[in-house]
Amino acid sequence: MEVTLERQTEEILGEDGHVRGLRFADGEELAADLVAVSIGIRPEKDLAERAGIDCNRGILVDDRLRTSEPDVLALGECAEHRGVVYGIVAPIYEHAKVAAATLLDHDGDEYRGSLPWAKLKVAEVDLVSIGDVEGDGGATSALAERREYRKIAMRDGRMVGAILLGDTRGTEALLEAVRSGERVEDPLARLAEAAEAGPEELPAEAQVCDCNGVCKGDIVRAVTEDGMSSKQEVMSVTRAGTGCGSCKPLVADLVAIAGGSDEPAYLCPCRKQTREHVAEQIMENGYEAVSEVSEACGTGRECGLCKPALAYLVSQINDNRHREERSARHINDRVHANIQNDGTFSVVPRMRGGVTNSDQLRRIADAADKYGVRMIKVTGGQRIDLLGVKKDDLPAIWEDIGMPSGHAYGKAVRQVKSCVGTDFCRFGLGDAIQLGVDLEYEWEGLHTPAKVKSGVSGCPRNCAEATVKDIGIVAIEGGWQVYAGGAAGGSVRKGDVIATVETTEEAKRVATAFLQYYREHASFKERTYDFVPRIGLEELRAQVLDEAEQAALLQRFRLAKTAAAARDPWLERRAPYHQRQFTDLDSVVLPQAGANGANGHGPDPADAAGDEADSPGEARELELVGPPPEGER
Amino acid sequence: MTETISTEGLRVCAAEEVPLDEGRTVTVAGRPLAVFRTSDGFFALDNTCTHMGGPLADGIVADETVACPLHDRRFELATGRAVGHDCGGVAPYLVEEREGDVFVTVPLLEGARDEDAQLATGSAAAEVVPAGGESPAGSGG
Repeated sequence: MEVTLERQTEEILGEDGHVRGLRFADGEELAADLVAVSIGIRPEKDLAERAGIDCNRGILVDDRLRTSEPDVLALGECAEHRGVVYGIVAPIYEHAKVAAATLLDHDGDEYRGSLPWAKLKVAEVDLVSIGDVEGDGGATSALAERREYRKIAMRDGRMVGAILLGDTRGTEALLEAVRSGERVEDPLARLAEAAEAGPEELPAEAQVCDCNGVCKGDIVRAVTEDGMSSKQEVMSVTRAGTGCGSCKPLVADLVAIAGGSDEPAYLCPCRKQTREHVAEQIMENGYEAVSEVSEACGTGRECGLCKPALAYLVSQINDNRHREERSARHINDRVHANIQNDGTFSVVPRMRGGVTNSDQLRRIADAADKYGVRMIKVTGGQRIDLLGVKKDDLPAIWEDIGMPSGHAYGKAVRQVKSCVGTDFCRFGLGDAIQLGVDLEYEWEGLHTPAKVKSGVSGCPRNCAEATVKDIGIVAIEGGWQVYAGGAAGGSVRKGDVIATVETTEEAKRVATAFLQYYREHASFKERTYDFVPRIGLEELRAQVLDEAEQAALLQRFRLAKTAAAARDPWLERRAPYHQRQFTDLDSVVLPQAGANGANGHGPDPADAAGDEADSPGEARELELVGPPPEGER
Repeated sequence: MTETISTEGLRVCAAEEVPLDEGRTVTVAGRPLAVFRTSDGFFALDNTCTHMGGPLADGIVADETVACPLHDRRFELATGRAVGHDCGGVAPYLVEEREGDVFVTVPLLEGARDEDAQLATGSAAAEVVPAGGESPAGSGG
């Protein structure tokens, strides 16, 4: 490879819309098929310069991050410290720590410069560069055919830098070695040793999370001394892995090595209670509400993030005859719609088997216009999604649409996708539409540990993609195949065939028995693609296909379904659980100072109009103290 | 029961308008606040999550905190302090329940310059933030 430095590109040459080469300022040309342009970061120092603060490449700072104007600090990409301008994130975190200490007058914390290193986070290119990669010697190992290159740079017998391309094993060990200026006799042997170094070999002071400055020792102590057992807990306590996230796999390894990984999956991490343990308590004591469970065993009292899991467990064990406490539910399950990134909601009506009609479409179209729906989107699940609906419009839009909830917001049975099967398709072997519609009636309204997406295909061409659904049914010559545990989202997995059956009724029974078994045994948020391999196909078949077990599962399913089917959640538009289920409080409008105060208090009739009352001109004349609102929600 | 308009004790709702262990948004002169009700009484914070702007009033309330409905970033109800994350806290507001009504103190300053505004909020917050409290970041579960 020939590297051409200090050239000024004058022109990119091309013909027929394709690049041909470059022409430099000296007239020389370089043929090229591809031109890649790369630029660096230029410190933004205009403000400092105009203020008369000393600048060079960046704003000059001392070891306390003070500029030439001692009351002004600079840090990050605009600052130049001892001749170095940093353009990567890790040193900036170190800057911030010292700047904070300076602001608080803490002596002693001084910034001495950072070890520049970077891990490229680009797909299919693993590249790590550490410190001074030139040095005055060192060793390299290159395997061109495996596209690997590893190098240690040495200066005066000490390691000062490294490059790892293609094979980045040993990154943390080498980082630590460069940081400590490790003395190395045989660089090549050291390189090989680093490649073999697993997390076990890392020294306790090796920094694992560079965003938050967490060392291996901190992680090990969190497990061995503070009693943390899962990666989640350790991350939450040490903050390792909560920055850019690139060290998460290593954190998981270290937690496992420290002995934390054999712990069971907790439903409530604060109180360390498993799903099985809480379920036992609920059954033994007949608890019917989340608050009773919390009272008895403390789950759900701390961080509260397990409350939706408890709400599911209580409802499932009580066959949906539990006492509903909406405060334990996520907002989606309080208002039966999916919250979007701007605080509005999406509305997906039930459209069984993906089949609709002109009457429904007219109502949907009219409602979309009336309520200012921002986008009408056809979903991958053969349904229609109305996006950008305001919370207080939900009851009215449901009324206008006049269709039941599609449960697209919850951990529940979603759609059953279908192909047109024997009704229309010349290849159809089974009546996929009828089976899809029937299953959706059969299952709709049921909550599940995680969402359940299903599909029915009328022949092995599998146009409904049933083999990558949580539950899938595919027609074959002479019957149906029932699949479970498929996925085609964040994970991709082909479902396992639980059974091949002859009749539609049998297919329904097997699929429904699987659904109930999953409802009873999966952890909250555990999708079928994790659940099925965890249980194992043998065990699953034994439970779902055994005549007696299947009958018992179907009976319990029936019990749960009877209570669930009794209410379409969207009917709460007519009988809300609370007067303010779907509405915010009335806006408080402030009249001009000195005016009669009566207008400013309470739900005065003039304010009750809701949105229109939000921003009358008079309210704007008063300035609020504090940061301005960032967009109204 | 109406007094003259002041920066103190604006009536925002009747107590029963906020369900127990839930929050509701109230817009005071264009500014969205979240009002929460727990067994310990009422709390009020800026409604806008410092992470991605989610509406805190729609979050799950537990352990004297609220978790944003978008990505579960948690904040202390009494102080607005961030719990277990680096996105920063939200402003708290003084709130009290009197005879079945809920009143929130929103600091107002006519014609305030931005700098003054920041300071004034700081002092309002100081009334409810225990001085010198260690940030609980990282201790959450």
